[in-house]
Amino acid sequence: MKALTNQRLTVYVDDEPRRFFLGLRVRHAVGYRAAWRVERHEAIVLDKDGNQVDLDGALYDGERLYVHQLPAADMEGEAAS
Amino acid sequence: MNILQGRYRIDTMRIWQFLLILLVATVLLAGCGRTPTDTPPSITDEAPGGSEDASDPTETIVILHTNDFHGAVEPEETQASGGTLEEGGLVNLVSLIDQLRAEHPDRTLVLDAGDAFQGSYVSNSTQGELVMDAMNIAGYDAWTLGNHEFDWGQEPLRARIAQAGFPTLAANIVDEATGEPWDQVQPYAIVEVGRLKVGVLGLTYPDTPTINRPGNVAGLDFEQAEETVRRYLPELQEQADLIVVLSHLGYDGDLALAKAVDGLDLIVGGHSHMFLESPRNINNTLIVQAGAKGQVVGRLELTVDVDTGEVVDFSSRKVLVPVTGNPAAVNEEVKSLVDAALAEAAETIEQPIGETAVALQPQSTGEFALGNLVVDAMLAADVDGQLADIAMHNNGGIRAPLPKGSISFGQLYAVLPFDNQLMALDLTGEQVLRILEHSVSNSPGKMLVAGMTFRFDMSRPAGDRIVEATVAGVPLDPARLYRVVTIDYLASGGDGQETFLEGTNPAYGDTAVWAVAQYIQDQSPVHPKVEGRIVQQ
Repeated sequence: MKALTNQRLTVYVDDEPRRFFLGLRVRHAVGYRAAWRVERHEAIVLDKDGNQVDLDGALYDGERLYVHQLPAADMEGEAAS
Repeated sequence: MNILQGRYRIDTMRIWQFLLILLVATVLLAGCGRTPTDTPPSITDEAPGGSEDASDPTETIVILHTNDFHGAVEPEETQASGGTLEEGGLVNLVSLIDQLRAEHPDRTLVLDAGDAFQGSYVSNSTQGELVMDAMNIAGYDAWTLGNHEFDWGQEPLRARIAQAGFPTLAANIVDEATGEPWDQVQPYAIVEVGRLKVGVLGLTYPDTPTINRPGNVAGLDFEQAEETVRRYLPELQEQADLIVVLSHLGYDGDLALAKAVDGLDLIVGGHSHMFLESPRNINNTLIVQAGAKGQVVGRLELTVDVDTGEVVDFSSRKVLVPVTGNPAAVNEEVKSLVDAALAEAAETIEQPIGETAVALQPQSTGEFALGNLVVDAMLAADVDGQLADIAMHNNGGIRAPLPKGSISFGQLYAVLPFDNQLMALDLTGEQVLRILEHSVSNSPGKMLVAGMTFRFDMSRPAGDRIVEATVAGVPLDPARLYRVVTIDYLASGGDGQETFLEGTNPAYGDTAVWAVAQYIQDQSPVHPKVEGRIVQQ
C-alpha cells in the first residue's frame, strides 16, 4: 500500500491563511456559502493575477484566492471566462 | 535545408530580429497593469498567419486544448435577459473544436490535459466510455492522464486507453517493480503539424497516489516532473522542432517546471481548473490552461521559425473561446451518442437499486434512521484498504426522505445532493470528543455517528456536554488514534468543525452517494432504525 501523506497546504482566501489537506479543492477553501454564490453566478473566484478559478480546481500551497462579488447586471449568464 | 532556404533565411534575419524586439517590447508593455478586462491585441484577430509557401521561414500552427472536462456532458443552462443560455456540454464542445479546426485543418493540434471522465452520473456510469467516444470523434491528437483517471481503478482506465484513437502520454508513470515506463502509455509522441514536428510529452499529477485510493494505483510509481522532463528532453529535441509538455501538474507545478527546465516551448496545463485568458511566459516557456468542464476551448496560435524551432510570435490575449449553445454546426455524431446516453441514464437513474423496509425522513438534529443508514454505509466503505472505526456525517447534509419500498439512485441523490467525497483520517479520541462537543455546542446534536455512541447533557456548559462516549462498545480512549471516515465538507472544516483539520493520514474514497448506493444494493432490503447511538440526557 502507498504511504499516506500528511502534507498540508496553506491557501489564502481573501488574504486570510487557511490550512488544508492535499487533494482538497477551491470550494473547500472558499467555504460552501461562497461556493453556493459562485454556483448561482453571483460571485466568481479569482487568483492573485485575476485569473478565474473553477470551484473544483485543485488547491496548491501558497495559492491566493479572492471571492469576487459580481455586479447584479453581470449575474445572469456570467460567462466562464 | 537547401541552399535557397538558407540564403532566404539570412536575407530575412534582420527583419526577424527587428520583429522579435518589437514582440518582446509589446509583451513587456502588455504585462504592465494588465487586467482581465483589457482589450485584446491578438494575432488571432488578424488573418491566419500560417503559410502554404514552403519558402516562408515560419509556420503558424494552432493548438486547441482542453483540460478537466470531468464528464460535463450536459451543458449548464443559465437565464439571461435574452433567454436561456447554454455553457459547455459535450456536443457544444466537440462542435466548437470542429469549427476551430476547420479554420486551419492541416495546422491544428488538439490536446487534452487530463481528468476527462469523472464528475457526472452519465459519464461515471460508463466509466468514461462516452466521453472517450466523443474525444475520438473530435480527433484529439494526444491526451495525458489526470489523477481522476484512476478513480475507478486500472482496468477501466486500460479500457479507455485502448479505446483512445490517439496516444495516451504519461512520461512520469513507471512500473514500480521494473522502473520502466508503464506499458499502457507512452512518454511522448511526435506529431507533424504543418511543416513542424511537435514533440508532446505527457505528465500526470505526481501526488496521484496520495489523493487516490491505494489499490487504484497499485504497482505504479509517479515520478516528479522535473527529473522526468530532463530525462526525455534530449531525445525530444533530437526529433522535434517544438517541445510541448501536456501537463496535469497544476498551475504551480507548471510554473515550477518552466522555471527549472530550459528548452520547453509550451506547457498545456490542467488540474487547477484555471481560466488563463493570456498565456504566461516564464523563462521563454508559454503556459496555458483552459478552465474546466468544457466551458472554454483554449486556442493558441504559435508562429515558429521552421529552421530553428524558435517561437517568434504567439497569440497573447483572449486565448479562451467560450463553448456556447450556438455552434456553427452541430456535430451530429456526438449529439446522437450523447442523446442516447442521456436517455439511458435518465432511465437507469430511476431504476431500483434496492429497498428500504421503512419510510425514512431527514432530521436536522439528533439521531434518525436515515442518518444511521448513511453513516453505516460510510463505515462499511473501503476508503483506503481498511475499514474505519468511526463514521461521521453532519445532519445538515441529508436533505430528502426515502419512502418505504424501492430506492432509485435518483431518489438517493436527492437525499445526498452535494457530491461530497468520503475521506478517512486518523484522529485521537480527544479530537473525536472535541468534534462531538462542537456538534452539541449550539443545538442538541448535529453529527451522526456509526461505530460509536455518545451521551450528552445540554444543561452543562458548552465544551463540557459529552458525558459518555464509546467506540465498538468500550469507552473512548482520548489518547488512542481512531480511523474516522467522514466527508470532505467536514474534513475541510465545514460546519465550523475545524478539529478535522488536525487529522493525519488523510485518504480519499468514493462520493458518499455512491458509497450509500453500493451499501443499499448489497444490504437490500435495508431497515435502519434509531438505536440509541446519540442520547440526550
